[in-house]
Amino acid sequence: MRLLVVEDEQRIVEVLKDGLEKAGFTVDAVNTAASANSAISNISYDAAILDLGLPDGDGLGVLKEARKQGSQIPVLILTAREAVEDRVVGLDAGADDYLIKPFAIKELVSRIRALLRRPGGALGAVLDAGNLTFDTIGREVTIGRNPVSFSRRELSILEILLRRFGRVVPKEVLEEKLYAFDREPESNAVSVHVHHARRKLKEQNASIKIHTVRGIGYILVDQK
Amino acid sequence: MNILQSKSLELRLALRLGAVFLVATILIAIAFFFYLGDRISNSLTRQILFAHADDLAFSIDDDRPIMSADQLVEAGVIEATTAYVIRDQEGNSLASSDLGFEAAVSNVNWTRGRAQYFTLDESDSQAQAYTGLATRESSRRGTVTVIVAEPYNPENAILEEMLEEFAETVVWIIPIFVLVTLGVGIAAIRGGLKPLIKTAAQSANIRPESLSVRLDTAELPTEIAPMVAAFNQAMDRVEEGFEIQRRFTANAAHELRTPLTVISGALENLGSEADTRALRNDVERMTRLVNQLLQVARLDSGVLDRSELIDLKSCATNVVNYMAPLAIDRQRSLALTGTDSPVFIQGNQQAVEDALRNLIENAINHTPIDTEVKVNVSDDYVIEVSDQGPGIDKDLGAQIFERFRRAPSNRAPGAGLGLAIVMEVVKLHEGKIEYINKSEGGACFRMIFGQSSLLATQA
Repeated sequence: MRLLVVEDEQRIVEVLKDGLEKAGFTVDAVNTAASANSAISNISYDAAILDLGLPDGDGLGVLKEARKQGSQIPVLILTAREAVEDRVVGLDAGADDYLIKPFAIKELVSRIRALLRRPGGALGAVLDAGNLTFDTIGREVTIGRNPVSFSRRELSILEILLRRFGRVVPKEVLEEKLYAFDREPESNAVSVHVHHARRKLKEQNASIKIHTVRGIGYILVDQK
Repeated sequence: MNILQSKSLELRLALRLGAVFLVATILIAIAFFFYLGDRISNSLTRQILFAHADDLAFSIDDDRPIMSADQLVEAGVIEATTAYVIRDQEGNSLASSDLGFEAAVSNVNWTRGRAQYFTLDESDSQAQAYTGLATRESSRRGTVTVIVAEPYNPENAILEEMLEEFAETVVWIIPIFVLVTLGVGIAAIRGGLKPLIKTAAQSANIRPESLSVRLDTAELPTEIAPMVAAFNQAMDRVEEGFEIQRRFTANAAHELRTPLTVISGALENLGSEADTRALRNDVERMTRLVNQLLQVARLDSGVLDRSELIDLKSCATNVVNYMAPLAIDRQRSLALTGTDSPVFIQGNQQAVEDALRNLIENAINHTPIDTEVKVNVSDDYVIEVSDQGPGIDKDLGAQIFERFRRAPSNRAPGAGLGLAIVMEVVKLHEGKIEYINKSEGGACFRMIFGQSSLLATQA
């Protein structure tokens, strides 16, 4: 997997490169908006990590330019500003995700993986997290080396949670994906399926766990 | 307070204008009366009387007896109609035109160093009405008092009376004139000051978030305009200062967060987790402190826009979603309860989310492992954050909301800024913050958003 890092702060580039390469990615780094634009148009990167403050222009400009050229490259924005407007502007300009400095490399890696898992992403077919692998085409899950059988609905839940690994997924989102419009889900149907999936993960010693955020939904995280 | 020292420019101008008018009018009146009085005293009759008195005194010889009335008329000293009495210094009559007149003017005398005018009405003893003069003259027999009178001449009298009447009327007109002028003056001052009042209202609306407002100088008097222009220039500099401050906040965020990212990233890439745990905790603490300092800077800069319509429920959802991974990492869980419908207030989303984040961070720090921190949003504009920790020492009271104030028993990382930020944010929303120790254990903080934020949304 080849990633492009657009960042002018040399120390951050070093740390990002180090962390991302340890996670198995190939990393190219550029430090100006101009070189970022030419890199994106010449090389087919799997994802880009874009700092908003660049010496020769705004990172948003790079993003807009890339989208104008028709590039579908998943883009994660790095920003030191956490103002709501800044986030909204970034996402409106076509960013797929954002991280506010300072962030943990671990979090960046998991966000990048999540981006790559999205439909259209190169890893869209096979999702993996911890010791679990999910083949979204064959609908098969392996934990460690062992295949584990999940019901159709449990698989759907697991897929959605995997695609948004480390982030809270509202219960309504799961309900929508699980049930057709004409079928009203029973009020606790989702929680029953989550309960079963969670038990199977635990029985098979999965390194990931489904946590409940009561009142909102569920989150899949690495277990400590 | 001395009315002349009044701060009201309008009153000051009016009073000074009034005083100037009063003094000027009095001076004019006095000059007018002197002039008029002079004219009256120099009127025809009086001139004749003076001439007669003068001539009578001159006609007295030291060795010859005083001429009789007829002789005097013949000599052209007086007219046939002229009545007179001449007295010596002791008041004894030396000569007179007739005894009847002498008797009639027995009470008239020269007094107080100046000539006296008098009138004699018609009476039983007196067939004629007279206008007379009593004066002192020097003669060859020493100083004498001469009383001389001419029959009352209606024509001259009418002229004199008209003059007198005019003067009397003018006396009454003066105060009215002063009052009217004063009124017109005040109205003029008021009209002239109207642009100033408008300018004052304009400047009253200048707030830290509306620093770009400049006062209108177009309608201002030329004397005031330079002052207002100078004020506008001062505002330019203030705005520039604020802008620098604002940029500083953003720059500080960038500058401080970048090295923190580097340090935390480097720590993660370095060796095993156990080796770097302590260092990573330090970085986490620093990160939180930097974030809080930036929140404080944002609040202190006073530029917070509170005009957005925000939903407390979605604020809470955002923050709970953001904090959930951290809570799970720390082996605690988060829950969001309460209303299912949006709870709109007028405010600043970022600030409310910052406040809530601080409350949740505190709760996570104080609730035991494997317990839940509950965030509750209710329809009556209250967000509650409750933990299952040891609760708060009630003796601390409101002290816990002071900056850098930390409970002595608090061993969790932090600088004591969290609750101060919460307090500021709630105050900015005209709300209040309170806390209780729940009977079932644990502390509960309630952010109650204020009436004005609510009213504004209903309007």
